[in-house]
Amino acid sequence: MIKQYKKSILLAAFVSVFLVDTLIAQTVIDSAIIITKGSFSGIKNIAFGTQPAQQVTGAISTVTGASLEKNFNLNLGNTLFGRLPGVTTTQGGSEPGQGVPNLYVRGINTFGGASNSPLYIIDGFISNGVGSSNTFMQLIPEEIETISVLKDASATALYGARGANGVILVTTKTGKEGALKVGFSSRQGFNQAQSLPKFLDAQNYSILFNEALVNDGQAPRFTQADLDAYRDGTDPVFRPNVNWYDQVLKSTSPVSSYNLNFSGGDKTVRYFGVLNAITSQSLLKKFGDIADESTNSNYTKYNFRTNVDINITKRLAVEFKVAGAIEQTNNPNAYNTGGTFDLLQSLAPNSFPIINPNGTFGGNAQYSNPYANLLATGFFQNNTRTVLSSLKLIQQLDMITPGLNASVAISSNNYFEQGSIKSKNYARFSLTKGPLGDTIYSNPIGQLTTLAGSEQTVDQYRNLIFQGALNYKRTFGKSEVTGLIMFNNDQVTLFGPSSNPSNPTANSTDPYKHNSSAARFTYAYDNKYLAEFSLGYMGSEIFAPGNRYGFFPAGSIGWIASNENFLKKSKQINFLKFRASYGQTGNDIIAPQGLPTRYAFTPTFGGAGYNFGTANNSFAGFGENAIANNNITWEKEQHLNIGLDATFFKNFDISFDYFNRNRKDILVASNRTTPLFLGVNTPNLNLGKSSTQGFDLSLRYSNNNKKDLQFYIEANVSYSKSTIVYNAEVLQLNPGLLNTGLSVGQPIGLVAIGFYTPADIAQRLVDLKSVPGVLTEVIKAGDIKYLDFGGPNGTPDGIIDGNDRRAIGNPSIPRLIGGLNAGLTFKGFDLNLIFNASFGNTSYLGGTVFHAFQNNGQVGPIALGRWTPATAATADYPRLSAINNQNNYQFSSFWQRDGSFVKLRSAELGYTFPAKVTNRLKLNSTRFFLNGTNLFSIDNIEFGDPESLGGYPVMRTITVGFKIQF
Amino acid sequence: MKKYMYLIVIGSFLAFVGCQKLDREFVTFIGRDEIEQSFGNVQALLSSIYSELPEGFTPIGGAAMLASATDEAEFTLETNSVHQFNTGSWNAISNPDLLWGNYYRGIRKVNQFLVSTGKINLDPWRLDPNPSAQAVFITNLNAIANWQYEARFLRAYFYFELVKRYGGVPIINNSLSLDEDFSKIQRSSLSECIKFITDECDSAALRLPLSGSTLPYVLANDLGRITRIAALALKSRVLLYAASDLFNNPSWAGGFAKPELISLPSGDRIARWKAASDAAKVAIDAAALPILGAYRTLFNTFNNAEIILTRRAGVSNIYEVVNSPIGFPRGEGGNTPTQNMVDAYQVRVNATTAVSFDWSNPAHTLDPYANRDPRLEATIIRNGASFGTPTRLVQLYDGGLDGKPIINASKTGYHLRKYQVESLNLNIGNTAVHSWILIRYPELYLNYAEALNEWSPGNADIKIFYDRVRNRTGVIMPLLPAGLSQFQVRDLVRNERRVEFAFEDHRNWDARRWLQGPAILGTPVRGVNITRNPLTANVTYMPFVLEPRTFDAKMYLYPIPQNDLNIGGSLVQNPLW
Repeated sequence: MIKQYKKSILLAAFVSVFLVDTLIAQTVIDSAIIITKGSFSGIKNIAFGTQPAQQVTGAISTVTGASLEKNFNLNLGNTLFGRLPGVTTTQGGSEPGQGVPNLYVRGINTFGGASNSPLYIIDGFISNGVGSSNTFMQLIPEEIETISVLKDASATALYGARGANGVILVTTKTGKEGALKVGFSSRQGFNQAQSLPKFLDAQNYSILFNEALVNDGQAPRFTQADLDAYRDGTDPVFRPNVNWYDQVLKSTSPVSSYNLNFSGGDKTVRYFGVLNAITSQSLLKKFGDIADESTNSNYTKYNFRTNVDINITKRLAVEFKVAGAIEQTNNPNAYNTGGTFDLLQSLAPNSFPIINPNGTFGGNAQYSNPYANLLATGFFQNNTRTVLSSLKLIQQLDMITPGLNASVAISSNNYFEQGSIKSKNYARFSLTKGPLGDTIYSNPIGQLTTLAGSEQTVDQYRNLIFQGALNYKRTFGKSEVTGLIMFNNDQVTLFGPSSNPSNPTANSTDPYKHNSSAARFTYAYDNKYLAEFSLGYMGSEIFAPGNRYGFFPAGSIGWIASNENFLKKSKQINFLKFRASYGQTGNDIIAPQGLPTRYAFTPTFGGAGYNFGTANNSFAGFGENAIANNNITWEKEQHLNIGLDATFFKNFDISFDYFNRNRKDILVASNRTTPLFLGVNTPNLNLGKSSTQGFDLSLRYSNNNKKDLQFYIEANVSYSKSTIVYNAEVLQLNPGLLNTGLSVGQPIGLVAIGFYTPADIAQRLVDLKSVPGVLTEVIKAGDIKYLDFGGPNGTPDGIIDGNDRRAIGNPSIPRLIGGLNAGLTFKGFDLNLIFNASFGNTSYLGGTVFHAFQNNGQVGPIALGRWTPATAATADYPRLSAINNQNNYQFSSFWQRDGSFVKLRSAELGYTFPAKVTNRLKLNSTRFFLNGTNLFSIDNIEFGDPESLGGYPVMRTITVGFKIQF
Repeated sequence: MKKYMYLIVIGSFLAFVGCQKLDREFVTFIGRDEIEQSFGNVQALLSSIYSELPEGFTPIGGAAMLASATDEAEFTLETNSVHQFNTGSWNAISNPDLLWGNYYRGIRKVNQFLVSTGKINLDPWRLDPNPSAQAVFITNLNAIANWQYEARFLRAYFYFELVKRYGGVPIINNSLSLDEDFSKIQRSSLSECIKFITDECDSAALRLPLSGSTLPYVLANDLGRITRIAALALKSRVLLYAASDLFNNPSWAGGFAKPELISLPSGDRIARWKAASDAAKVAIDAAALPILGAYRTLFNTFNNAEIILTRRAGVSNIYEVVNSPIGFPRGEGGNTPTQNMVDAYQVRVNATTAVSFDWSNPAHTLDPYANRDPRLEATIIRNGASFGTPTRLVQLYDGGLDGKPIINASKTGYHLRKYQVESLNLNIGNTAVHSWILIRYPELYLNYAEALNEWSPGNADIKIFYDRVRNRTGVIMPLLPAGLSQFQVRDLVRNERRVEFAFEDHRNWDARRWLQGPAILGTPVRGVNITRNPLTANVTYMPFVLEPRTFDAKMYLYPIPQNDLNIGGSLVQNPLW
């Protein structure tokens, strides 16, 4: 990371100098490539409608699909880094078809089993799925008009008991009146791992392993001859030195995409259509080329969309949308690469040769051979299909009263994921050297079988949604009035992993149902004074009859000060609006979805039986499970938002929001309110409370004075701190073990305070508890020493155990995130950069990548700083141990690192041919571009990427492509 | 007109959208109604109540026995919470033996069960004129009536488990709802609790079959159900406790404001001892006395005439894993008997004389395990004893296969044999049925002897029943000598109880009920250092003080859990906590 650090400083310096220069130069031209409009003009999408941006009083961030096209990624979530103030995007691995980020709006304000995921709405209809089956993640930027994030209560109240985690609202493109426009683009490029874990080679592994054995009081295993052979590679059979990562992964994998879109229309019919294909190979080598019974690893996604708007009569319009995504993933060995990477992270370089001298696969009883696993255990094909369709009729009702219209809509969303498995096994053989230096093969480990097939449904769901609405909009003199009344009914049937598809029961086909109605009234006077009132009324079938429906009101006010006379003529302040909102929203996914937690209001029975009779026959038993909680209800959040939007000096936009979210009725175990003498497993009750405060700030400077050079730079910073205010947990004598008062997601572990010295160990021989330590391990010098906070009495007891845990480090979800988004055009050239930063989050160095020799694992360069008597003063790693050490690898602050980073998420350099050239080719425009994703990272972790320390790595992607329009 | 047409069309669509029913379309899981109507399902409710009976194999931290909180044993792993008892670091917030909620769960199940039995739908048989159906109808009707008494006995048993820990506890005989005002719940007085439990025993004894083979019980199906003897035996136990010092002498509690919660009203102790001995005698006389067979194998069975009530279970090997010596496959060497316990086993001098073991007696120390009460070998694994599968001699001496300095080797120099199914090969995961004996006949004998000695010392029955326990096949220890004082007999009966019921979860409660907390639970536990001369193979044994133990007066009763005190504002904490 250090090298990249230097690179990035140079680049950052370059960018800033460049921008300062251009600020002074003030030279700008017109171009279609950079969005030059300010943030506060045009139309904004809001819940179930649109609003003039000037008059918006809620907290809404927006990004256009056109700007997301500048990020190339296999899923939509990964294009959002740094784009939307208030949205935290956390990247896991980027395995094609598998790795999708998590999105959080304004932090995480709930805990326990409740969902913290925002509600996804596509073209007005809720969408479903989690992880890679989330419909939202499968969309492509080219079909998206805008993505809006509704953050505060006034923006989300209409979604009632589903709005409290924020709402991500997607609007897709529609056709515009005009001649047919066709666009075609294509890109080709490659992926490579941004960083992969490093491990020591066989020689160094053996040296350290010997040291670990000696530390454990055992004899070293490897002789000098062994070490020499590892170094020289003279004995690849008995003393192999295999870099298993190199055997299994290639350095780059190709990726490509193609997009065809067309739009146009007339007064009666307008249409937009898109066809898109993305293919990407994973980093696994082409095992299908080597063996017929394996497959090359690849991922293909086809997207299509047709949006048609028809004016059937003067007053009746129809909107018809059909879209879908089809994905196919082929992988050798398993659905995903999780198992392969687990093995790669554990397998020592000298474990066994890849192929034995007689052509069989190497291996041992403990570990299989990752190369052979991918080559000879068959393959998996995973197919998903998503279909989104909707039909909406809009009838103007001017004849009843001007400005009134009514609409009705029906939508159906489907998702289906099916797996096709062809599996087989192979035999591996471990080798020993005979007395004469001959090779002795072990009995086969595993058995060769032939390829056998099976099919399975991995996941599926379907939505059916009905909507009806009355809209009213009219201007009376200086007053503008709008009104909305709408009804929504949706039924979602989940068959997903949460409802156990392999064992479907009748209840898993019982749809989750919501009825909701909502109303919104807005009033604007003289385009200065704004007021809005929203009301959601929602019912959900997962609550008891009588407790199903609830009201979710919210109100907001705004004042456009710049429209007052005293500011109207100001040259400095072009636009200034203050706004405030307050309201209540809910979250009805209070526990993991699926059968075990559904219908918590009905009592269930189960549990232990008993044995009777001379044959000890077992008799079934029915006991009351947790008491039925008839009062179970949704989480409620009071959300206050105070913000301002302003434009200074024409080109400088600022938007600031302060928010305070107080959530209550979080479902938690009710240990503090139900006594044990109630005599039943404590039901979860709506007792938890949390609170989140923070701000979103975005600044934008754009220069669009219609000259050769134009540019914009947009920076956003979001901060949120979530605290568990109350969660009814059991009393603890050690206050450090209580979660109440801590941040949501706060890690609790031991506090490391250096290493035991030989003097400590001598003192422990005199009195074991005078130097606190664990009792599960014989502690030696160089082991990690922990702080003794508590014991069973709540006071230090000389024993390090679970009682000594307390809050350590910070949650893994960052509190402070930032984005920097800059673009410029100069004479046909354009450049677009997106930086994303995360501060204060804690990463944990765990597992076989960092814990040397644990669980029969290997050893990485981090262990070179190990404690030895000679290096005691400078050591930054505990003494090595070849057995599983019960002291050093406990969850403790020792393994925590600052996970902050600054990343260049995306950069694109383009060139658009002058109109003279393109006109000659009868084209409207032609642009070539060079695009890079995840180009560099500045962070504090020496041995990996803070966002993906193990498993499938995060990809760096470089592509070149072109886009033509005609 | 057209205007209104629009409104009607739109209105009806909105009504359609808005009026979708939210109810579930079908219900497939079993709710209370489905259970209560079915004979078989209500029977399953009863099975679930039985499963609340205590099981003493691994109750604390999934490994330790309550014996490790007494002078019977020391638990090897220091991280097990049972050590909180030994260091005195247990309290109202953290109590390793927190079964308060578990027994109230059992009680709640009974309360609900008694309601459910009234709702069973027997119409399929009642309305069927077929004689065989009518016979089933009558059988089921009788079974349901029996079930109620089984359940009431079990509830009484649960209450007594609470009473011996907490004194008077709230008697809650309806199932509380979440909306209940918990702050109104109060503790009943100790005498109310004792009366409630003994009355329930009386009712059950009147109704239930004498034994598992008395009709309508059929041994093959019903062995293990509550019997009349069990009801009488529980009553005997309860009255013995009620007559003992703890519940008759609140002086330890330091002027506790509510003595009725922890003590019976001052009254005629003689009458209480007499009631206790009478109850024991009634139980003894209720059926023909069984022959007491082999002691060692008794604890690996559930089908033995000596057993009055046992907590049945399926197969497992956790107990063997936890308690096998450290050098045996998968052995963790958990609960290790103390030297205190070992010393309690008498030395047989000849057929009529037995003396206490004495470390100052060179004849005893030369070969400490010679001529001991045979129950020692049956209960405890000492150095040099054979054990396990494959069988070998246990090497508990320093440097031996099972001895120090191996991590987690026995600290006391002993291991526990009782209850272990030695034929299990743990390496290949063999399992066996383990059932935890709750009441067996010798308890009745010793209850009777102890109570009788308090109000009628010298009564001939004392010797008869004390001797019955010692005269068991394979034990045959010298009988009660003549001419002993009341105090000498008391000590012998108490020691007999200690030896006979070692590790059966009596010691903890006997120590308290005798008001002998400091002497039994607060006295240091000892182990034995075993050294072996490698040249001569001579082994020498040297006792040593292993660990001091803590007992404060407040520990005579457990503290009511702090959480429940906070919620149930009317509950009174036990004295001195």
